[in-house]
Amino acid sequence: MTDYVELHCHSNFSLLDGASHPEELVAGAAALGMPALALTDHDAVYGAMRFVEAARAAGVRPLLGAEMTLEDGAHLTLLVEDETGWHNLCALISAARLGAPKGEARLPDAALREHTAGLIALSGCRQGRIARALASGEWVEAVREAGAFRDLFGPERGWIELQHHLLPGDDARVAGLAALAETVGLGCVATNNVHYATRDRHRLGDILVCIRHNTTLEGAAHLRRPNSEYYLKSAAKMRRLFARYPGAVANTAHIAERCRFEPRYGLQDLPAYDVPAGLDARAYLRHLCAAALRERYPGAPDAARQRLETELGVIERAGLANYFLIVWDIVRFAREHGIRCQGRGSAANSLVAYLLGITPIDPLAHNLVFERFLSDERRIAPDIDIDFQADRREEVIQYVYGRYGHDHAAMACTFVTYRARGAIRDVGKALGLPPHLLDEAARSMDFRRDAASQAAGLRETLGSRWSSGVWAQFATLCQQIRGFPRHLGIHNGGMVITGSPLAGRVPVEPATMPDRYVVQWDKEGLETAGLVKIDILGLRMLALIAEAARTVEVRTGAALDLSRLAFDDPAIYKLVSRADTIGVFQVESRAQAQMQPLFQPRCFEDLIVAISLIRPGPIQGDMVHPYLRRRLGEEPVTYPHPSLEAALGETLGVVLFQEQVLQVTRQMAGFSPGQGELLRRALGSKNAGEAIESFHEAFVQGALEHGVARHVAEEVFDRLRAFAGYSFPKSHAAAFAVLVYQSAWLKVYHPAAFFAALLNHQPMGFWSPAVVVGDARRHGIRVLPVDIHRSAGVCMAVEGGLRLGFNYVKGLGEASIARLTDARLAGPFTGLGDFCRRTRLPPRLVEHLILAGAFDGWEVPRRRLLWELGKLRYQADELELAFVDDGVQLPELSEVERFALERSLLGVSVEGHVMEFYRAWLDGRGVLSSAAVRERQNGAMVRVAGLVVMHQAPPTAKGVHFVSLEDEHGLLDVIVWPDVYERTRRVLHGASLLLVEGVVQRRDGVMNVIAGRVGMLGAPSGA
Amino acid sequence: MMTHFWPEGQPVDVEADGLWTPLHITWDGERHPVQAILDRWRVDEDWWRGRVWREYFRLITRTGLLVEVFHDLAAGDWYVQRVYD
Repeated sequence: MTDYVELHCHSNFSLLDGASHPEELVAGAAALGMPALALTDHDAVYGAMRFVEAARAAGVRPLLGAEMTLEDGAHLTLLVEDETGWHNLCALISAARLGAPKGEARLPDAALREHTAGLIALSGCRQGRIARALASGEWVEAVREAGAFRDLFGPERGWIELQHHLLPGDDARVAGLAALAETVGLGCVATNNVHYATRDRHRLGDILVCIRHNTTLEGAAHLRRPNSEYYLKSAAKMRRLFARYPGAVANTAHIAERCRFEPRYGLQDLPAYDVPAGLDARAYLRHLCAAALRERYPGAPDAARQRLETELGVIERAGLANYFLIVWDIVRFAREHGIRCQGRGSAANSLVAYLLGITPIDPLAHNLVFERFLSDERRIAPDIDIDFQADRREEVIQYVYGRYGHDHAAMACTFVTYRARGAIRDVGKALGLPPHLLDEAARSMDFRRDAASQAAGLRETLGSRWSSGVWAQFATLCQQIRGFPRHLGIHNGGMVITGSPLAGRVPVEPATMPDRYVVQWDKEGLETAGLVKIDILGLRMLALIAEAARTVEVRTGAALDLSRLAFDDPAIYKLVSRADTIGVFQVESRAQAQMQPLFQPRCFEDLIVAISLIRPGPIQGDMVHPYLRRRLGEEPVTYPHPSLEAALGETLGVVLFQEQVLQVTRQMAGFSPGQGELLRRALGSKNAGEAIESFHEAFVQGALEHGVARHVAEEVFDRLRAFAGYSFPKSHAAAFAVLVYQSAWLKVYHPAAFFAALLNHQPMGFWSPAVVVGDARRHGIRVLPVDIHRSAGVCMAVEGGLRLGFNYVKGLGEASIARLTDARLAGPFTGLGDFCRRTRLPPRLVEHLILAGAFDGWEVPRRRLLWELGKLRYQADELELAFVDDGVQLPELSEVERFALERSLLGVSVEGHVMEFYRAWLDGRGVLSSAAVRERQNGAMVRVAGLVVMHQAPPTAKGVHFVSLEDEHGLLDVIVWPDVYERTRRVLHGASLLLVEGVVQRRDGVMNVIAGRVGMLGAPSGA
Repeated sequence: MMTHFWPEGQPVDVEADGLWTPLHITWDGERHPVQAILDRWRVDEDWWRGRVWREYFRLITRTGLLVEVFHDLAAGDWYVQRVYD
């Protein structure tokens, strides 16, 4: 222990200023033997929770604070003494952020005066008001400033801050400040205004300055700090620097002693839900659940009643009844307003959530474990994430703002951090490296390797262009900056709601989006602090289902309640089994489509398994193929130990769901469900090495006590370790499987409505609109062109097919579409002049409509219309035109031209497929269509051609590339092995039409062509 | 008043205390005991080209010299950079 505590310290959450992570600063303080360390980032507590966690782990007491920017740009260091001080700091930061442009802060003096209680103030760095006055040589003014500071904070909580960075004039400045302190009767305190943990990081600090000012090191001479003294210094070093002011050093420990605040919230911070008179939240929740139980489980069987009782007990002991009511209320609002929604994630393990209509899955019917969601051992706020139909999510957010007020509700923030590409770009620019060399560098750098071997690799790549000075530093700096927060974003849906005003709990600042505010903590920060977040997520698939269902209702005149579907329709499972899944939720990807014919799902449980199987966890844990072999009866179902049969029986001995971690640890090692959940969390988190090891020992020990051999226990633990990070909880998969079923049901029974909605809610998933249109056509849907008289703003299911909407015409936004459809209300357009006069659309958009075929109903050639348009000289909003027919004869667009223009303007092709133009030519050369290839035997040599609609090289596939080709008959999967890829990468990446020669590979209903040679297909002859 | 200035400094012998504060400098074969350090500062610059890491002292000697010397903190050598006449 030492008597110096650093009280003024910036982490990299002083964005593009501090050059060390909070954890690095804590480690530095611990190594120096500091009993405590303060974090005082600029106008922010972004890093506070990471700092607090790291400090707790390292045995260093965390002190919270911030360096505030005042209304005149001067700086002031504030430290939190107690809870009141924390509330005030949050209020001050919020006030400073509110009145300033995004990313900046200006704290009005009036606000500061209101919120000094519980805060200790240090007079600041060179930019402090007192130091500034002193620097300008105005002693009287400096005394006045120091007096004002003393009057505001008093001698107990106001301190003159002394900083000595071995800069010219520092001795004199410190002496002046010390004299001033004595004059006004304040104490002095030494700080080092730390900006990095260790001296060598000042280089990164210089780079950050350049990035912040968008300049280079050479250009930033006057902006950079002139030396490298802003690191965490030892007590001995500080005593030496302040040899004449020993009290200033000793006072740091004295002040640190007084700061005793650590934020700990919890559910009491939620607003109290407004319950009916005579009931409290617990009673009301019980009442709601009991009513729903009678409805959902006729006869209220014992199992359901007991489960409900258990869950309510845990919920009540955790004080969560109010929380459930708040979530229920949000869902109820959505339902009442016809907004589709459903809970995802582990909440679907809860019967209470099911009864409240938050989740769509009956946990009893699907054997879902409540403890995965909540248990007595783990009293933390559970995560309830709810998906809402994406196009109406905003209404739900506005409802929450409206109900609880902007003072009590805000979004969580996210920190956009440096990754490889941004690091290379920004560091390279700061170092003044030429952009074209950076591009080359980016290609050769692999951040999984250490900086030294990267530098060596760079040297090789760049050859003579390498110079030892800058490039040698480049790799190191890129490595160091990775993970640094660069700026703030809005979390995708995470809302924080508090009972007391939010600004006293955590600072709030304006987000980029107008009228949107974010708190200064991200998801992890909120969780550490115990502030409850409710995720209000947007899901396009729900919007698709909502729209398609509405279309069906309008067209059939009957109500359609998809939630009543019984999950037992063989036609749905047949659709999935034949991988006819384009547009179907979760099972449309290539990997899923390849698996389904083998997997052959037959029931709802199978859908749950299917979407859980193609996940990084099971893939990396090498569980997919063993599972499929067992399912097909090609290998026996075995268990690592007989005790696991109950846990793993439903998944044929393979660990597939997160819940199984709980069951395996319980049955094999006697873990409680809560312990099992803690282990699962540790396995899923990046930096929980030590925690995992302690569970590892407990697991093996427990297993030994249960009579399991050590090597078996070790093997099982390894499996859990390999798997748990990237997998679904079964409950989550079950909730998603509902959407798989519903979307597949729509595709089977109402394809036109389904495809129209699918086209209207792009981007949706895996396939482009062009592929969707091709798929629709193959399902017998006539895709009708955009038509100025018949199209609507969006794609619509119509008699006999699907009519493309104006939303598919390039350049037509909502305003233009409204103009067109409004003008149309007055009656049909009689000609191009009439159209232009009435809609006043800019000629460019009219041209797009012509080339997209929207005027084809007049049976006037498109080129003729273009000619006419060219003669209509008008501006979008003022139109007086005369149009004379001059009788010019024009050649028509060729078929290929028409097709290509249409495709480029719509993104889809209305009729035909580009490969049709090649077909005769291909037939003459023995190149097969996808339909003909499907007739060939395993092992046949084939030549095939098509449009590249998908090209993937998933990291799990170890260099294998997957290409999907499309022609007028459908899709064909091509596999390119790494050696072939190396030979053909230029063609593969450069061409949109490919000619592939290869071997047909068939297995259990799945067909691929293994590419041997790949070529580019040129323009069709004669076109 | 004339000032001599050497951008890269002139090597000089300095005797310093344990904290590298100059006590005597030997300049042109003459020993000058330090009377007072008027200011001291450090720079750490140009690391991307060739690091300039120095501690500077502006001092007066009992012999009446007003000089700026610097200590090359990486190599440990001392230099005179400026002599005020």
